[in-house]
Amino acid sequence: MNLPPAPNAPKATPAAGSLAGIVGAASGQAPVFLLDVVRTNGDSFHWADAPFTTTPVHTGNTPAWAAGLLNPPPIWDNYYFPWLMNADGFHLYRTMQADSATLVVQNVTGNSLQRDVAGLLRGATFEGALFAFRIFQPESQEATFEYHGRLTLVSAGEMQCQFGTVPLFDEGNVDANPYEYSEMCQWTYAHPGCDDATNNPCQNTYSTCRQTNRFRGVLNTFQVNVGNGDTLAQIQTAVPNRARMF
Amino acid sequence: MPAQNLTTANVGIPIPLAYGFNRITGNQLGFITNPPSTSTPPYPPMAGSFPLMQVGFWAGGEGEWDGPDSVFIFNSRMLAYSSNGTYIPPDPTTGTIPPDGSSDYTSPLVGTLNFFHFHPGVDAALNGHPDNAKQGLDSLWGWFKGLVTSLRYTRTAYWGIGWTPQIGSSPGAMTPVLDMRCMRCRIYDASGNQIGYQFTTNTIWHVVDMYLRRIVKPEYHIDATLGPDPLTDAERNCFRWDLIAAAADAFDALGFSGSYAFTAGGNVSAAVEQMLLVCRGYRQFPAGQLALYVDGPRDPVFTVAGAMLLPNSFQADESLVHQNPNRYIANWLETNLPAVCEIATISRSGSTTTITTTGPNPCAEHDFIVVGGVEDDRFDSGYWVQSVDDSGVITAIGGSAPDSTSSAGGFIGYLEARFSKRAAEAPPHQQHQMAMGQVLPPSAGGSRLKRVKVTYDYANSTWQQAMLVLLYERYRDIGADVAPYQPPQKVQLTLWSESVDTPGNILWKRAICGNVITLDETVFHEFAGLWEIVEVEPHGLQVDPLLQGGGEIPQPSANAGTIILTLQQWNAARFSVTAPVATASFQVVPGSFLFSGAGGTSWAVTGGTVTLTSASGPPSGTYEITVTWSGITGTAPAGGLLDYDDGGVAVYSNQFPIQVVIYDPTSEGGNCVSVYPSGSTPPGGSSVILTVASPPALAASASYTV
Repeated sequence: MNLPPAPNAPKATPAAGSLAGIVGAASGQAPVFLLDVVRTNGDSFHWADAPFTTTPVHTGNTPAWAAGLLNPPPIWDNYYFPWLMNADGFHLYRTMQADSATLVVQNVTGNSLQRDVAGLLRGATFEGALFAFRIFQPESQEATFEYHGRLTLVSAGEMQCQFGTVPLFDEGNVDANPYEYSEMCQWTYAHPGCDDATNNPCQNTYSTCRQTNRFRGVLNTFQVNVGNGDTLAQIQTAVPNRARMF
Repeated sequence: MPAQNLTTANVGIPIPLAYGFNRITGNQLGFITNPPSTSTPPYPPMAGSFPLMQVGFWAGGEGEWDGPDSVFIFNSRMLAYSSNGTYIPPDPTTGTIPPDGSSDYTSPLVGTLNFFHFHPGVDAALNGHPDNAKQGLDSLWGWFKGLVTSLRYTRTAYWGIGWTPQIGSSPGAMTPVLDMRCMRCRIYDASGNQIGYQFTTNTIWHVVDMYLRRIVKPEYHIDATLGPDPLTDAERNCFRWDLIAAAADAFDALGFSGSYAFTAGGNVSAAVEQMLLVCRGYRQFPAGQLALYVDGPRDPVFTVAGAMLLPNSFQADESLVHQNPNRYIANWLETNLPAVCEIATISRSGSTTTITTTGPNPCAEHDFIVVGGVEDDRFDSGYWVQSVDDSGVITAIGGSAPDSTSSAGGFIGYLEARFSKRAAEAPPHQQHQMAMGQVLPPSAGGSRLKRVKVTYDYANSTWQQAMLVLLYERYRDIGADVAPYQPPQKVQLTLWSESVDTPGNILWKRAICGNVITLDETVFHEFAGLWEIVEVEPHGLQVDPLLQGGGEIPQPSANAGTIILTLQQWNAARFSVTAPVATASFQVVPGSFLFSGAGGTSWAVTGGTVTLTSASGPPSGTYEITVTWSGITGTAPAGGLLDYDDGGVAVYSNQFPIQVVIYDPTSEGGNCVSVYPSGSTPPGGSSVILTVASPPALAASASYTV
């Protein structure tokens, strides 16, 4: 195992222009904070704490809202609008505890009828939108910190809009056993497990299945029940209190 | 019309997800008892004379599973054997034991296994396409006389069984139990190329499968031949394959084995936590990619100096002491075979093996016993007990030791006893118990210990693995049980986020949970040393108008440009704990460890030939077969080529199936190919390169390219 260097050991000098040299410099260009967002409808947004242009992590469709911009960026996905006001509360764990953060964007710009972020929120939800947050060194065009997840709207006010974050993989909210033994097929119609190509969605029942070989359910089509030790329906035997006042 | 339920599926319960080796009862989907019949098809579905026939289907879990090792009905092992005692394995393609296989040696006491069909749980063929052999419509549906709708149970591992109770007995409906090799998993190299799709006991590949199956690519197709749909580039980029492959190799190097079944419908987080628990594993998401680690000795990656520290931000505590319990208890199901007695002497004469034991033994006629750990390891094998005399001397058939040989030592176990429930507690941590329980000063004499217990569930495991991981947890939580007690401490400090250490490491890049860092003496003289990062709180953006009382004047946040690190004292001694010596009741049969092999990243055979040559006689019964190998080359985990020496060994026709395996040449002396007959288990860390199901006929030979 490596030991820490002795106190008098000569210091290594990071190469000029290297990320270590840039980060460790006593003065220099401050990092910028970049936020890429892609909504589930495919619209992409790029926000930073200052106007900035660079290669994004996420790309997507230019939202319809951008058509009203006086000076739209030449390449939508490369330009970062200076809307990001706060990116904080990052807390990362070694355990299985979910990581978290808070992101705040301004809601001041717009026109006399509608503020930009409020209008975007009304147009389509940001719930579940993918995001990638970076602390970015402009000089070396390299991120020193990168964090991915999904957005959830905490509050939208007149001045700003606050998003919480959900972990990208969010294991705590995904069933390990999403499928059940059921008389209803467990597949989503036409997805790879089903693979029906007739473009005629079923009702997840065997009767409406057009790929019965792929029917993912069980059928209890022959049951006698009575006298075979099966559990019968539980009948309520408590006397109702009909004098009860509501 | 039979007055019974024919379709009996328990509905409304989760379809289990199972990895590694598990003992399974399954969800009974259908069951029928047919009276003796001599009629012709369609009822019964095949011509012939049949005794009373119970037929049923059971579902195991979500596919694709690998296959069964053993089938038990009424606690007796049910596997097809030919009339000369040769094991008839499941067909490797269809998973089917041939229906015409004689069952003379299955279990004469409780009944006869007539049919066993296994379906691994791939996707059935689409309508209009020919059935695939793996997930086709099972022919046993014919015994249900058209009364029920027959299904292929696509993507569900299930099996059909036809069984006849012993004449004169009245055992009721059969209740089969199976020892199963469960999920097949995709295996990748360090660049993210899929290099395997196979059964494995490597937990890292189980976790990868869980994330793929449930989160990254939940909608996919499992082809009967090609396996699961390949990942797209975008899906592949969700993983840090270099770190995952390294973790998989680290898992193999530890000799651990992961086996567990998730049946209760919990979430992925709980399942992954259970899986990682058995191997000291943890996971991180650097830059949004899944990275897996097996905790182990590692070097520090950053050195913190005093100049990086915000003034007065250093805090140390011993919160781990009062937060944690001190009685660490492990629960698991033993995957080795528990030993039932110790062997005094063992000898072979002709085809009969005679065993004496050091004490009483529970063996009885028709038992299938497993012998391991004999001084002459040629006796290590499975045997059928023919008789046990009044003094306890066992006479058995089977095994592969040469005629007129004898040896001593070893243990006997039963396959039925695998997966026995075990609970064991780590030795008491008296120092912690004293720290928690002091009421009177030490000068008052006596000790007042406070015992607080915690139980870890290690699923299907072994004494060795469970105790090693349990002691690791205890060491990490509350330290070594030595006086004076020095528990592991925690430290929280705030650093300037743009710190770069003397060798040029950037704090931003190194501040990842699980990394080990050095605090040098300029930080805090008394706390200088190695620490593990357990929490990271980076503070990013430099303006925070929220703090301005409603005003919108941007000002730097108080914590802008800093990172709070929570550290835990690092002591690599936690990796060198040794399991306590097991009590007699934990003794297992040596060599019975369930281990799938290296899991794909360790050994890859690139060429070679294995040849089996049968002797010419005798005309019936057991005969000798010479197994030779030549030109076998492989690739080592580090990428180097391995060239194995040519060699050979003799086995007998009643020892099939046999497994040809390779070992690490650095530990096995160079010639690393060996043959393991039925009933014996290759050692941990080896890889099976060839399985031969049945012997060549008399005076014949067979050659296999590996």
